[in-house]
Amino acid sequence: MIINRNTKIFLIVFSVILLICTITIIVYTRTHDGLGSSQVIIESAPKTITNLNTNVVENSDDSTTKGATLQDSYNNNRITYKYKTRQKNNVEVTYPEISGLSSSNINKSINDQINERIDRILDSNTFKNNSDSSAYVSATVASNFSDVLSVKIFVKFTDNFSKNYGVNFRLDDGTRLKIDDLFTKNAPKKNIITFSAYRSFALDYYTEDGISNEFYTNIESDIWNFLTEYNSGKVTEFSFTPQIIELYREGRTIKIYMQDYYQYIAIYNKYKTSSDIYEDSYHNGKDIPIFVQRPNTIYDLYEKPNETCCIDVVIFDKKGKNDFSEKEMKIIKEYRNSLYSRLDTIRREQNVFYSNYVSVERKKEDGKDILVFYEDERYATIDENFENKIYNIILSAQRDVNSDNNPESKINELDENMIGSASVERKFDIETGSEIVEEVEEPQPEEENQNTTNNTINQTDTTNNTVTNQTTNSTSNTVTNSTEQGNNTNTNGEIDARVSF
Amino acid sequence: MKKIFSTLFPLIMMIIASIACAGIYMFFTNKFGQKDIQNNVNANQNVVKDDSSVVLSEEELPRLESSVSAKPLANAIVVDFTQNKNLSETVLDYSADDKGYEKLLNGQVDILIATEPSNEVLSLVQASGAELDMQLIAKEGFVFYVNSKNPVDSLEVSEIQQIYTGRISNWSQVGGKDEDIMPFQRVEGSTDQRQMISKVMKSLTLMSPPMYNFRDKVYGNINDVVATYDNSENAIGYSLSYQANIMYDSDDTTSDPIKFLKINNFEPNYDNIKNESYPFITNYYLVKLKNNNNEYIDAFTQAVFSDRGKRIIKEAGYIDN
Repeated sequence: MIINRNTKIFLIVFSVILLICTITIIVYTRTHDGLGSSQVIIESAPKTITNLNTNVVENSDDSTTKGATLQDSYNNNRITYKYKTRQKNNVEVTYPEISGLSSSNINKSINDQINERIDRILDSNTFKNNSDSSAYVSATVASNFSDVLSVKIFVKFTDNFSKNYGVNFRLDDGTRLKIDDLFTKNAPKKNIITFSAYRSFALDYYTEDGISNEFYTNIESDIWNFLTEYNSGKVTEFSFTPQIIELYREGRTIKIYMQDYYQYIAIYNKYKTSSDIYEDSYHNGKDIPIFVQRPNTIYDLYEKPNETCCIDVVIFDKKGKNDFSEKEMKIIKEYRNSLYSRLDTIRREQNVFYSNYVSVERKKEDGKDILVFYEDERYATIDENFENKIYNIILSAQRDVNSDNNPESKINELDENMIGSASVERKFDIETGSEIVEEVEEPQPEEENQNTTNNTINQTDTTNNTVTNQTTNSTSNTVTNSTEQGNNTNTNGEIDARVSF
Repeated sequence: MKKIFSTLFPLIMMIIASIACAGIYMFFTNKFGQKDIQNNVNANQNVVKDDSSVVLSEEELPRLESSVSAKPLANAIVVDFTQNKNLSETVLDYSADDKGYEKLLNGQVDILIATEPSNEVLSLVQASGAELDMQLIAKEGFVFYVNSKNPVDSLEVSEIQQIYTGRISNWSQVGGKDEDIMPFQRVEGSTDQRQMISKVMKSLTLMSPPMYNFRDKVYGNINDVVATYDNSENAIGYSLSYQANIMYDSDDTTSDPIKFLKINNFEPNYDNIKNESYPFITNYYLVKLKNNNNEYIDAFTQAVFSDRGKRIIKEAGYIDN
């Protein structure tokens, strides 16, 4: 060969260097290829719009694609919270303070984050420049279930201007939730938000005469603006209840009714943890059907002990403040235990829906501080088809976000002739904790029979399903049976099975 | 001869090695068959190099107005030429098309970015004695969409017209399932509805839109609100394509996305809109009054019509003219 050795070596070295350079350039180009994205922008603008949403959470967990079903149920968290008040920049701030997580660090972190968020709002120029002396902040727990917590922050700037904000947490680690965390990974969020925005904004412009064309144009423009901001990641404020997700932006609120998109709702299942993250083992509200919003209660029991029996019992503060002292809470707890033990009979029933909404009120009577419990007991029974004729009707009413009779039981949605009822009032001395028993006047002979009837309640003997009558102990309970006689009679003229006490 | 060969051989080998490496590079970086993309990118890069130095201050901007539908376009132009992301919120006003034209005629703004004026606006223009100077800056498809589960992929223009006059009322009449068609409309006065009437229906009369009734805890019963597209399996809706992409999921990674229909078998994509084989196209104009002598109008107009302006329009998701 005419090529000398040095030339050969040179060519080999040159080739190797060239190859190394080529590989380096290829690797660099493939990892830093910004030009490809230009192509996406030019050829397919829609895809870039999707990518603009900075809220997207990349989570490969299967739970992100698992939506809810209408048969699912949820548990309330085992945390407790109390509302407190403080001043910040001369503005009154009401906020919840949570406790009950086994990790004191997470407890503290969540409480700190709630307060930091409020402080940031009050320190912002937006607040300083747009608020007056009527301003205040009210942060409330919007939901507290499935190991997540949502706090809605209402900020009144002036009499004519207010805004909502939200802070939302997973309770296992105290980290903040994002909007996308509420939905399954594949949820068509833009479709959902657009449709919900249309409904929400239509309400803003609706008058008795309907919506004028000009207002319709405003609605379209508002939706466009809201979605544009959502797509660019600017919609970050939200809160949620078991029924509704609320998105906030610049004083506007969009309500998303979760039940309408249940297959895309992940928040009921996504952060449920098997590890025990709570101090207390008592479940206040367990196995509640999803999309059912429970009233703000002290104690909550929703139970389906068998397929055709449902028990719906709450004890709630009549004034809605839930500010009972330790002594008062002890009395309420004992009342709850006594009430719950009475439910054993009902648990063995078939084709029964039982509800008892017990209000508690602090009062003064004869110079004493007392607690008054008022039981509003309702029950409905049917021979067959309990699911369709009773349970589904009540469940549907419970899920109707626009029915406005909380905390009244939704059993009232049934025909009146299906409902039996009784009411009981009991009073307790707060100081001693003992029940105040009212003297019953000796009835006149002709009234005696009538009183016996009124104080008689019917209780089912579950072993043989016969109806027995039992007179209440008038020394401990003052029972007034508000059910008319006709209500206690079924179509065969027989007395229905009763579940009151 | 031997000497020449021994000199040239290494050189030839070096050239061959270089070409081989270039081929390897092209192969692994997937540069084959992407001439158009490369051209676009190069063009864009050149544009940036040519006039990226032009930055307009807030004072150098004419008073600007944009229709809501042209908002992203106007926003992109202002942001790029001012190099200020926040400025567009203060210097740009947005309104419905007709209102924008009214502001222009009243001298409240110098430049309007909007679709063509309605007949009502043209009458106003005539009555005022003013003359509009309209320059086409961008195009956009006016699109029809259905639920992705709907088997119908394409409709003829005449079929669209018959659906919206009520003559075709079942999807089976256009090759779909035996289901009633739910033909959603946009609200009267909106750009979309005006485009629907002027570009699609022309002299035909639209049927009454579906209405929506619901109950609200605070407001009570809400009746007869014009229903908005709900992406149900028998629904059909329409809007400007940019708007559709803002408001609806068309991405296959989401469940139940919308599907854009072909019209006369033409997809509403970049090429078909650019060459106007897709039949429904909305034009956006930069509009000014001919007798407006605001000193900053010309500089702004020249900037928008520069190569850099074209790049901005493309990147904003519109079709450059």
